[in-house]
Amino acid sequence: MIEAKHLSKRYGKKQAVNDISFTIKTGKVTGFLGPNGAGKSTTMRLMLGLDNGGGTTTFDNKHLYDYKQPSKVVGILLEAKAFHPTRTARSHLKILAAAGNIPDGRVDEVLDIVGLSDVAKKKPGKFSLGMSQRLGIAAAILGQPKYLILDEPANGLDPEGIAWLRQFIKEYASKDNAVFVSSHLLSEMAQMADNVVVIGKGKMIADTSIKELVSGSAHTSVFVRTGKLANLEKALKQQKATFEKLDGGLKVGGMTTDAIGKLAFEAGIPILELANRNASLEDVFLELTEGEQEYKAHSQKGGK
Amino acid sequence: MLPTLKSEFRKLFTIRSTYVIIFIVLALVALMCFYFEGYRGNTGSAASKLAPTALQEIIGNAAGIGALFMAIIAVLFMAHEYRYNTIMYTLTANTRRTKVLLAKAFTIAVVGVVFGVLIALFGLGSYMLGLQLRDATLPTQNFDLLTQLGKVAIYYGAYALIGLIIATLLRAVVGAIVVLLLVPTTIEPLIGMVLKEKAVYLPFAATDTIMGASAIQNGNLSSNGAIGVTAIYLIVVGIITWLLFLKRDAN
Repeated sequence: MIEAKHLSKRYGKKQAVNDISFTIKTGKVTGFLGPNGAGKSTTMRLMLGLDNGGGTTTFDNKHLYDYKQPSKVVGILLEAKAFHPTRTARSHLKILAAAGNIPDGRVDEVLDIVGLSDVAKKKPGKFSLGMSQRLGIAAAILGQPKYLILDEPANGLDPEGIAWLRQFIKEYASKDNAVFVSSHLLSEMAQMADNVVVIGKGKMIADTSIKELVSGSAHTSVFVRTGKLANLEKALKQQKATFEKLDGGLKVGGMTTDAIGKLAFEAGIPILELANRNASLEDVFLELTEGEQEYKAHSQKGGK
Repeated sequence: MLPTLKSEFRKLFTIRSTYVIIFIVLALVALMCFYFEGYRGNTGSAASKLAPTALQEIIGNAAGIGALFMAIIAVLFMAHEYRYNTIMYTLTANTRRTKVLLAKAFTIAVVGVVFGVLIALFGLGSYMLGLQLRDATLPTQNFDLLTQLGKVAIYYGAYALIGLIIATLLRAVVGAIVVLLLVPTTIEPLIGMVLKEKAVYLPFAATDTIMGASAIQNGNLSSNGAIGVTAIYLIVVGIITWLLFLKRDAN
């Protein structure tokens, strides 16, 4: 388990990260969400001791600097293009292998895993963003670490690459490892992550499971359709439920399907359709980070 | 520490710029020592005139040509870590920053020493070959090869560390190279106009005095004294660099 406690970082007058604490559980994929400029990358760097700031991060109750071979504890991908452009992909990984006291033979293994064996002797300066991400992932898993910390690893990957990454991350975590991954692709995150940490303007917003996060959203509702709409409206009003008309039925908030079914049965109202309408992770994310954006676009006015 | 050292040596010898710079230095040394001093013998120097100090001068000249290039290799070695952000891998593979900096200093200093000695020997060999083609014979030389090579080794080791220190402090390739080129050729001579004979104690002037190659000639500093002054500079600025390396964010 990774435990980050009271992480904080200030750049001059700006508090980039403000007393953030969370845990990353073994066997799980934990997503890290936040608007641009929320402090996600800074938080990851603080966790690794790359930035000097407040707070502590322990990996299985030990600080990273207490491990003799940190490369076997945590693998990182913080920037896709973090390599010398004229050093071959294989040489780049061999340098990292040497630093982590990892056998050189592992280099070809990881190149094969990420699908870069054919370009192992190529200089990565001209790699596409997707290929660079794969090289970064190869670097991260070089030491077969228990923990992976990945900052936007899906950026630049094609759909096939994204599907591969999703599967890879889920499998990696399932082998008693843990993956902490940030991404702006919320639909991907919804499919990939078990838990999620959400921050905004450097502050903690949520640290929970995706399931709990989505079910607790104001956007989660129940859709109900009946031939006796007026009767159902009356029954719901008596229950002080909130609802609105939608697609020939009602969208009811704050009640479960069970409760609505029971209510309709007791009132003698035939139900034609009754279904949960879960909020998407995007709905929840926008709901949670409302007003927490560092940079916000405004709609165009007076266009031609 | 050994894995970090291995990694640092690999970094140095897996990029093209290291080889390009070595090739440029070898070409310049060959041009100077083989062609102008040995084969043509028309520079008017002690070496071209086949004086008893010819070999000593050749070693000094060859060393002088390559020292700044050695510092540039060191600058690229360190500054590229920041430019390409590979420093984050370096500092997570070994989370002890002091060890990382020591490994880098050791690596570049060793490479500097070896490079310096090889350049000096290459200069000597080129000169002798030039003399042979000129059909010239040297008189008995007033010269201790080991002492000269020892000075070259220290001189190059010092320049390598200077490059590393400047790059670690500035973290920018262009900025570090500009400082490296501007300070010894312009800034120090300008300060020297004020300091006069004491200008020889300025950092680059003192380092160049190890080989008797300082642009500031009117000082009264021996070669051994210059080694001492250079060592003091390296230790003091090295400690400041180390403290900043510990204190600053990785990049």
